[in-house]
Amino acid sequence: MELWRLPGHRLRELLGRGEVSALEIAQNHLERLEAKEPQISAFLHVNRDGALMQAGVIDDRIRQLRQAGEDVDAALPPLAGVPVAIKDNMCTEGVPTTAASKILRDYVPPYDATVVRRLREAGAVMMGKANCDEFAMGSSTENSGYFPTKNPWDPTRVPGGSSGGSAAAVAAGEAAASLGSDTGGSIRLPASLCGVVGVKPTYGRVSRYGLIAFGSSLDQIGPFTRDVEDAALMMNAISGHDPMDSTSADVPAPDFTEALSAGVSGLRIGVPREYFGPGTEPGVDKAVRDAIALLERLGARVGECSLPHTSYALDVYYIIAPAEASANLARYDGVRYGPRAAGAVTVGEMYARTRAAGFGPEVRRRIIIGTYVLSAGYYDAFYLKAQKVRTLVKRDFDKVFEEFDLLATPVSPTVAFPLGSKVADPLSMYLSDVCTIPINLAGVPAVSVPCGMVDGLPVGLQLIGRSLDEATLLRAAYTYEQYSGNGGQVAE
Amino acid sequence: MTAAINMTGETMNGGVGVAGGTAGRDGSTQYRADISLEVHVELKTRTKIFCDCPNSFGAPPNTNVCPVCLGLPGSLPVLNRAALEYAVRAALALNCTISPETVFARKNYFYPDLPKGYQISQSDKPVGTNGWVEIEGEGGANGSANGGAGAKKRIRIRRVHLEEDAGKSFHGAAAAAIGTATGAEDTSGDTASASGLPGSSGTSVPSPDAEADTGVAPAPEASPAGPGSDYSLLDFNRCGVPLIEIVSEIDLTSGEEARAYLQKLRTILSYTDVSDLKIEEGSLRCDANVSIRPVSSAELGVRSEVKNIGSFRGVKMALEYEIARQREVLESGKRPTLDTRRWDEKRARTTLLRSKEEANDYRYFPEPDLVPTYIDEAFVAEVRRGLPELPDAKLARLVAEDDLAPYNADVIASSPALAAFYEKGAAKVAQGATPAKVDAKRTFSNWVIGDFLSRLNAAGKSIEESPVTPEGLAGLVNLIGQGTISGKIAKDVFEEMFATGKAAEAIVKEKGLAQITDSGAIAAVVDQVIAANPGPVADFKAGKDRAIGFLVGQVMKLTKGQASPELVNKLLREKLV
Ligand SMILES: [Zn+2]
Repeated sequence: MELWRLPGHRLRELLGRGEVSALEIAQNHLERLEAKEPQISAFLHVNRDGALMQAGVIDDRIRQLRQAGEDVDAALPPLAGVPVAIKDNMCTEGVPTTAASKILRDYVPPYDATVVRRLREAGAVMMGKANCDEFAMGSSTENSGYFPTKNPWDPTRVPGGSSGGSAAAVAAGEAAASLGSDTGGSIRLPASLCGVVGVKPTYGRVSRYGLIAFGSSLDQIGPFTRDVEDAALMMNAISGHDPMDSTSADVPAPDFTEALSAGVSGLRIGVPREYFGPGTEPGVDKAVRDAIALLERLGARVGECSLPHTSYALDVYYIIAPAEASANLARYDGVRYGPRAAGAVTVGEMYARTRAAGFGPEVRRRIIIGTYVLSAGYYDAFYLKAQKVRTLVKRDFDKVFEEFDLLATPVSPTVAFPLGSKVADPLSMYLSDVCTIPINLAGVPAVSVPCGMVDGLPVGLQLIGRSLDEATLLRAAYTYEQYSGNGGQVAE
Repeated sequence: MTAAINMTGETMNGGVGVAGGTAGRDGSTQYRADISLEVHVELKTRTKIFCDCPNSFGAPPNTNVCPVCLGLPGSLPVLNRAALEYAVRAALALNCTISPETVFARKNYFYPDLPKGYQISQSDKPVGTNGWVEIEGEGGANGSANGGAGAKKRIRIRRVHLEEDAGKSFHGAAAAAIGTATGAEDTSGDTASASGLPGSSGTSVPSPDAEADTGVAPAPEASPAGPGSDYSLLDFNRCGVPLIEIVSEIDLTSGEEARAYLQKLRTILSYTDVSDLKIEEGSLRCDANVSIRPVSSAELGVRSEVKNIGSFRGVKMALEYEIARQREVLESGKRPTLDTRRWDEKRARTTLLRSKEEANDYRYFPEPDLVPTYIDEAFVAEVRRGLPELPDAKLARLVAEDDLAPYNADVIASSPALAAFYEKGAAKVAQGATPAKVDAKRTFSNWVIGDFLSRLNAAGKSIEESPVTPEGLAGLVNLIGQGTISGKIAKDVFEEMFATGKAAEAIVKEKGLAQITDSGAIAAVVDQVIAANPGPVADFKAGKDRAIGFLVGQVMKLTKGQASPELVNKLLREKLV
């Protein structure tokens, strides 16, 4: 049986009924992974032995439960046996974690990120660490310090970024689900370009403890899955307050699976005109508008709206995120871990050589930008002003959410672009995130859900919700998925 | 108070008379100094400021560490509420206004003992602002034993903020010493794995070429080629220990004032019990900013920042040196530069660490990993209620209610332990004293700051270790008050008490030291002395009043000092009339 074609909740169901073992699920996915990796390169580290061991432990547990005469399905945790991939910027105890940077080559964390611990507790089996842009800085996964990941639908094209490995692994059937992180679109863009579901939760909904920081006030962890039901299950596992993260919201997370099938009747969906700019490809525009039309037919009330400060979002983002990154990445100095450049006489020289050799060009560019905008004499003009404009961007959302329950937009103005086509032009690369960045600035949740193909390449619909209202988002995405028939697809 | 200073004709290294404005040569410029201090105080919370690691001094290197205080990738800080409470407590004791909303900021700089590459500190919205302390003004300092305290001078405190400490670097010989003791290569490897530093290339790094502007890091020793000269070792135990930084306004005008201010801070903070306040262990550290200008100038001069001041004496010496140095620069026609300098206490001089061109831009920005902290009024009120009586108030009360000399009250109030000793004992002397001896508490205070303190210091003991209890010392003072023993005998009794821990009454009884107050017994001796000394008796009768002193002495001699001198005097006069 090609178990790798099944979504997580189906695998969990089969396991609970005793129709497959966790080991079979893991082995089947490892076989698929080994067959696809030469083409896709989604993983930086395959956790083969660890995954098999985890699966074995689950099977032992099932045997014990059975012997004790207990209800196996009821006793197993919600993601038992589900193979997952973890973006390489999340710490995994005893398993290499590099954030796709050479400066963390061979780094093995002594602790698990909170999300990783929660997934383990939910029974998920960790297949390995997924490739990404170095320190999550990029939109194509071509900035990985090791190798680029390819789009499973067309290996000459990018999977999007920065969580490209996490998206590609799920799209290619190498894992049923994965975790990514989203600072300016890094979950939604690759989800859209790889034809899978991607959720960027509300800032604070999911703990960042153990996530290697890029832009601390923007970073948020979320899941990739092949359908919305899996997304809800993953959200259930990772959401909720964490005393180790001061910015995590101290509110209980609901059961996201409960409201999924309540439909969209009466939901007010706003369509912000600023998100359908002249750069939007006609095929993308049509797929997204068709999706909105379907939601309307299903009972949603659709109306046009405006987020007037959208055009400033990209500029604001490229001040705030690099500023925070410039401090977050200062610790990679060759003193305590990671490779240290040889031959330096002074400690200053050692820093400079280590960092020049360890960081790739995009990371260096952002550290330089970030250092500049925080410098004496420039702070007020750049950083402080950007924070003020960020408040205006956020207010745009507060305002439209008085009138609408959700917003619907494209995720990306284009489908997946060819590898190498934008590497030489950082600005055109930055424009890939024009529809996703404002959401991070506002801290609100959003989801990318597949809404059709253009010339064999996936298009994503972005639904944006109110702060902490992922439940409504997922309900609308689920309804759309059910009626569009776009859920659950795997790239052959 | 005068702020003018003039050091014309004084040498650089001589005991420069800074304060008080010594008169200069005709035509020379009079200068004044403008000084502010930045004082770092380690808070003695049970755990560190942003993680659960123990906050303790002296643990083996790199054992009190975790992913958070090591700044490992992905770790996040969580504020220890106790550290905030301690900071509020200290800020209130220093008369600060507490910010209703306080915000942490990242202070960015590279240094090997700063594992995140930034220090979590505060910039805008510190915990406390606009505080003050009072010191003795010029001329009044501690010379108030004769009554009238000197004029008070108020030193304003700009801010009190909370931050994390950095680790400790061991350079040159110090690194080599650690290396030799345990094997240099092994040490770095072991500490790395023990502290959960994976993939580590060890904790040894090339020696820094210049001291970072940490305000906290010990400066590297000059390192001649040899073991330890090409690497440094790091201990991260201190990393994440909570600190408050107390920044004064530029209100100080001399090294002596700076010393007095620092001493006063220490005294006040010792009452709040938030820190060990040990300069030698680094739990109290001080940097100074100083500039000088002609007294006629309204504009501040170009300042230098002096780091590595390791003692109270050092503050005064470093500033006096620096003032003299700046003056020499000005008088040679040059302009002083905005320097950071290091105080070398052994050689009694400051040396240049770096000039303005190399100055750090710390690129402060709000710490996104910590949310703003709201300090509500109820919390502030609760912390305020928990504060003990502070030294200024205590001094005033001891003068007003116990009628102590201001000098005595000042010495007693300057230490919470001494004050507690005094107050316990004073309660007992009041009970035992007869109405005729109203100044029992005064006498007791003299004993406390006199014989008691000097004996304790000579024995190298703290007040808590004293073999003589407050009640015991009160018992001794009561014996004097009741006329049972003389003040002179009391000194011997005290020695015995200190050596044996016995009560004064027991010693007096055991050794038969009680004064002879029986007039009959003394009268017999008086008669004997009058008979044996016709010459002095004749002198006295002839009007030489001084001659009675000799006769008193003879009686005292025959009674082995146990007769009451007053009674002897009285009886002699009666019999010689
Ligand atoms: Zn710690």
